[in-house]
Amino acid sequence: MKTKKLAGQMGIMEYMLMTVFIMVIIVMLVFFFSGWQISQTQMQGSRVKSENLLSNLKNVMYSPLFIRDDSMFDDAKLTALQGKCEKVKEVLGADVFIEVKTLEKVAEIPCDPHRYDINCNYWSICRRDAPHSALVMPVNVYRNMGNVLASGILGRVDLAIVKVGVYESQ
Amino acid sequence: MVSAFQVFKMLFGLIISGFVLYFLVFYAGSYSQTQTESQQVIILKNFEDLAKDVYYTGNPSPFGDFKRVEFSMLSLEIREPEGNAQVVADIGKVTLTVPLFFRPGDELFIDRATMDLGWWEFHVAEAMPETKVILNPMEVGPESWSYMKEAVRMMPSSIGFEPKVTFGLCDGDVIVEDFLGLCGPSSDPCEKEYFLRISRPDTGMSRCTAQLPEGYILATIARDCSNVQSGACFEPPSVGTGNAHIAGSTKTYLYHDAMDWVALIIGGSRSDIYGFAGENLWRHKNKMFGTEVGLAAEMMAERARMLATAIEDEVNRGGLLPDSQSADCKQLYLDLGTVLDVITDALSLDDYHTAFASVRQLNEKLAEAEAMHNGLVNKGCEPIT
Repeated sequence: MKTKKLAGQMGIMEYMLMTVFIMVIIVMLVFFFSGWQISQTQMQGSRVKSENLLSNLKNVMYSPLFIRDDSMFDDAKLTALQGKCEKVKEVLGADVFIEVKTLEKVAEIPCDPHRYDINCNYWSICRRDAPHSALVMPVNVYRNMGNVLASGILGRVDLAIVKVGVYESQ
Repeated sequence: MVSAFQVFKMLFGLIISGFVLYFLVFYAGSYSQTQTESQQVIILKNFEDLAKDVYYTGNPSPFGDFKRVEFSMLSLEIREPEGNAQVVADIGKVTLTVPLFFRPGDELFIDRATMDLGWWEFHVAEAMPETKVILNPMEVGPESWSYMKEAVRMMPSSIGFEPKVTFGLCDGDVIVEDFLGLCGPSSDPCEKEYFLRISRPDTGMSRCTAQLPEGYILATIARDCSNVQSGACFEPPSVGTGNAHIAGSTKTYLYHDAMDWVALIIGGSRSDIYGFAGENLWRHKNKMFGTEVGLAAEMMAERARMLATAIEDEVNRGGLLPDSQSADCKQLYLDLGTVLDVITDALSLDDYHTAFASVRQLNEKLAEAEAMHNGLVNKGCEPIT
């Protein structure tokens, strides 16, 4: 009788142990799937972020606001747009900034937004000091008054680097 | 005799399997819902990217992702006051920074329409499902006919793509979709390029009374738009502007270029919780035109003035001869800058597109600026790269 009772108790104990194991496995599964889901979401988030950057770069490289021809920026357009950040935002979207620097001189000579100057080599639109992500790309800049001769003005194409970025949201 | 231990085992088994089953069903249910929603988000994002690509590059493309997941809602809302288009679906909204004429459908064809202003090109992305655009020109004066042709020229060109956007004419209860071999050898419905070959008839057609099946949109050109059964109706233009109407709406829409026609035709008389699609697209086009061309005019005016000053400086410095061709560019740039300033001012008004006088002045100035820009190009001041 006592042995039978003991066997019954042992059985119940086995089932209790099994329950604990099953619970542990279920909890581990829940944690595993949740963790996997979170990492997927994070991966997707960073992919969307880089796609967004690429899309902004593409938009700038093709937008007639900045370019004269595909991937060839117009220096006079860039100069004129420097002081029109709010309006550029309406077209390109908020939190986007653009920097262009030609490569013929190492020193950075910022362009005056109100005066055309063939000697300047750095344009910035909506640039401020804040955390951001950006992509850079080699491009051409058409200098409208690249070569001034007595008989006329000829344009010139300079090699440059464009940086298109998005400010991190606060 | 069933022992207490056996009863315990049965109850225990039932509780555990119930718990596991509940967990699996609950998790599988929420997982499948999350997957559907995330797929919808991806599809909306893909659509936004493709529409932008087509807008910037001008390369047309089909888009079939909307049929992959069922959307119980797919519509276009115009965000005020900016006028940006927002594609609205079950899961949420995607706001586009580029102008978009959108007609919902499972499979879409996306193309770009361009309005060439000389000094600027205004583009719009157009996303349409398989559509037959039926035109009913009751009025065939030269200006009306050329407006109609210009509007067709701005519609998607689907040659070599699926789904198709084709064109036809309606005369009374007859719909003509092939025009005696003009639309290719196999008497297929007329694609844009073929339709544009049709010559202007001597007399106007009768009011369209044909029953138009699903996928057909009607555009009528008539002096009297009061009895239009569906779609948009355009009164003949006078000095480049005129009134348009949408079937079912009591409002009058002022048009000042062929792109206004395209907006009203693609939107048509469809309506949803956001109102008449034609009216929304017309408002969207004019808001985006005002913002983009307004900024472009402001920037190009400043650019023109800066280049004029730089030329003057070079002449004063002695680097450039005063009688050289490039020195003549100075005055042309200054004149262009002045006209572009007027355009900027005109477009800065929120309701510039709703008053006859302002749109007529705008059209005049746009034509003037185009002529001036052509003058600059012909003189070699704006070399074509």
